[in-house]
Amino acid sequence: MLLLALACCYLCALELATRLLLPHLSQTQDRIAADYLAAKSLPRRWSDGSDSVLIVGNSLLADGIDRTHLQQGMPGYHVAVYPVEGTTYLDWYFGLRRLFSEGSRPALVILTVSVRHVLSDSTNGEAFARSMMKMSDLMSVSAAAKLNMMSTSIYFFASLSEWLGTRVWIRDGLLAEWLPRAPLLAARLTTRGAAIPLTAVPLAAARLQKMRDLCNSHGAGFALLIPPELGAGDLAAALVAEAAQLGVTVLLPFRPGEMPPVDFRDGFHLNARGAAHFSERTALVIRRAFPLSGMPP
Amino acid sequence: MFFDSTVYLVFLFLVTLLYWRLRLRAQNCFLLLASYFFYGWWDWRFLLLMGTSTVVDFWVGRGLDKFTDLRRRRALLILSLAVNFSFLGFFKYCNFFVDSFAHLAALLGLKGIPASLWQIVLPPAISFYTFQEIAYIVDVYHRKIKSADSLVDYALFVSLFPHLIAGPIQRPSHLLPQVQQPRVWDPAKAFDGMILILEGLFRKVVIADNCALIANAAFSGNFGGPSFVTVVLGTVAFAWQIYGDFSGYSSIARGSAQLLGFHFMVNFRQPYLAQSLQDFWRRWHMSLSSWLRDYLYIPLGGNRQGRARTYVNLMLTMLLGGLWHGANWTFVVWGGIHGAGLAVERFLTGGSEIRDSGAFIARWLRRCLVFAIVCVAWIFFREPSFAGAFHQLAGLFAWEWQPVYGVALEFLGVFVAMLFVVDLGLESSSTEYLLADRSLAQRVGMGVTACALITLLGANQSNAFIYFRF
Repeated sequence: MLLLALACCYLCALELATRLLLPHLSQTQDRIAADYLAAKSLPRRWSDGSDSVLIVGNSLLADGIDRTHLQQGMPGYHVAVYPVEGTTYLDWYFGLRRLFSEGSRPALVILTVSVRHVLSDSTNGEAFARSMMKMSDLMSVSAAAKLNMMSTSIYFFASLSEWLGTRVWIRDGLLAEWLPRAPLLAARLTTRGAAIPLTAVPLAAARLQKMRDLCNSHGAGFALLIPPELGAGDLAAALVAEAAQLGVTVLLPFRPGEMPPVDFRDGFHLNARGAAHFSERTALVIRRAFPLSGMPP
Repeated sequence: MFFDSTVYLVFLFLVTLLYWRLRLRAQNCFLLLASYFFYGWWDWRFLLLMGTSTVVDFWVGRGLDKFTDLRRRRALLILSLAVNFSFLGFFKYCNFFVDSFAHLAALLGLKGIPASLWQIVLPPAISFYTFQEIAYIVDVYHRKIKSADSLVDYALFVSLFPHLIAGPIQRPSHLLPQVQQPRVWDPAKAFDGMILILEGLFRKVVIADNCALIANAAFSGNFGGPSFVTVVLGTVAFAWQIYGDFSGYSSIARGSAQLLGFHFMVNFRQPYLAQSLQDFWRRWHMSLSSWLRDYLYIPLGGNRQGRARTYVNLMLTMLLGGLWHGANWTFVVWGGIHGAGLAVERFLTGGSEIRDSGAFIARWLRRCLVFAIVCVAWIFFREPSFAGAFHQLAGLFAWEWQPVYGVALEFLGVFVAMLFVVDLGLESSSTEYLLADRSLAQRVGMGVTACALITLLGANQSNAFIYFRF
């Protein structure tokens, strides 16, 4: 009984400490929390007449967009950037459902992930369950991500606990403190799948159409923004064409292989120089695709 | 349910709470339902399969006890073995043998032999509960134990949830009497059980899951093509991953059983401190190795029929032991490497045991040699094909160094060192868990430390226990 009582006390303390301290200890968590609050309270139009643009995505967005540069390149728009590392299509499909239900009303939503991420069937696990999923969506998530009962129950408990939802961050943060060079490993520990065949493009387009319908049903426009890739390939261009047939906008500021290797940090993510170039051109293509006069009323 | 999931801990807590409020018969019925619920959580359809083999073996056991006529008893034994092996053979090995036959036919120039017949899903735990049931039937046949009187008791013996999915494979003579007799709540044992669960979680989520990150990256080529460093890195990481994973599972199983008043046999005893392969197999997956010894090696003749036959028996036992792990020839080779190693060792020592003696350096050299052989065998266990395994082995002769290898070694070293220190402590104390013989305060301190490590350094719940596949 003593050990049980101690275990309960320990878990309660852990949960409390995670809720109270983590946002102050982790810059990433602090940033995500601030971006989430900003995204949740987005009005369609601000008092100065600017339209809200919500840009969501994963680390390709976090590292790829220079917020100041982007905002400067988009006068008349109020840009809110909300990147969450490790997320893919499903995270954002359900993440947007939650944001909309919590009152977010952007005029335009831009999802910034690679084509591979659009086709991914996985989610960001417990972190997604805690911070992006509505509890009422649990069974839909389970079906969409093809979860078994075991994984569904993990998501259920994670949605209730801040510690479960953020424990991967806590561990990574501790390891980074303990082994300062550990983050260097991160890129090698992620196994990237085989090359995606062109035959998968219709599925990606259909998914984007579904996300567009979700955004439209809440009065928002939608587009996919494909970040620069180091290697050349025709997948992105094929998706632009396929999505266009379904009426979905896909923005491709840089063709795959177009951005020079010197602008990449690790072969996947952009460095500061690459982010400046990408932000500049992204502002331009958004303005062209969604001119202020054409934004939803 | 995975043992390292929140849902299992909630399940175990609720089951323990309700269980101790019931009397023996009700306890057994309740535990049986809980165990079936636990199993059905994966796939309820396979309950029917387990239920069928349970009922068949229960009635065969009753018949073996009742009849004295040798022919009838032998017929019953054959019936039970046929049912058990045909379930196991169909669900686990059908496509393997059909594929192998088709490949062989193709090599011989025969065409038109179809490969995999059906998409067969492997029922969880089938290898484990089948072996447990066979042990029961053989023991009843040899009149080493009496058959179970109650179907509920027997079904609980087969399906008791802590051991159901991946062992430890329980001997009927050890577990069945515990099922049949009243259990008594013992706070000291329950305390030890909780510490064992914490120790198991530490081994699984802190050690195994973190080592898995390096092993998976190395074996999938994320560090570049195989070279000496990447192969050593990947293999050592996998060696500690599988050890942390399976010994962690076994500790959680034993701890969970202890909370319910049962005692399970120890399954691991610091295997990487073994000084010979024979010693290794007395420390690694002890419930399987002793099963193979008692129900395969000894019935084959053991070491009683001359040296040559002993080597053949050793080899056969290990080859079949390898095949038990999975329907793939790489597992057979894994078993073959161990079988050959055991035979060579026996040849060199003349059958006498290598004792824990000699100079400090000699003892550690023997340990390193055994660990190296075990690691080479793990390559065949880890790789799904011979091509992959030989590709890795060829990498041992190529040299390449990248700065990230140093980081990976540092990362791996931290987690391996933690378990290594635990193992050294256990080896010197011969206790069930670290500090088990110390004061309550020290043991509580150990539990809190384990909790801290599990909650702060546990990797993501993405790696199912490796032995769940078997």
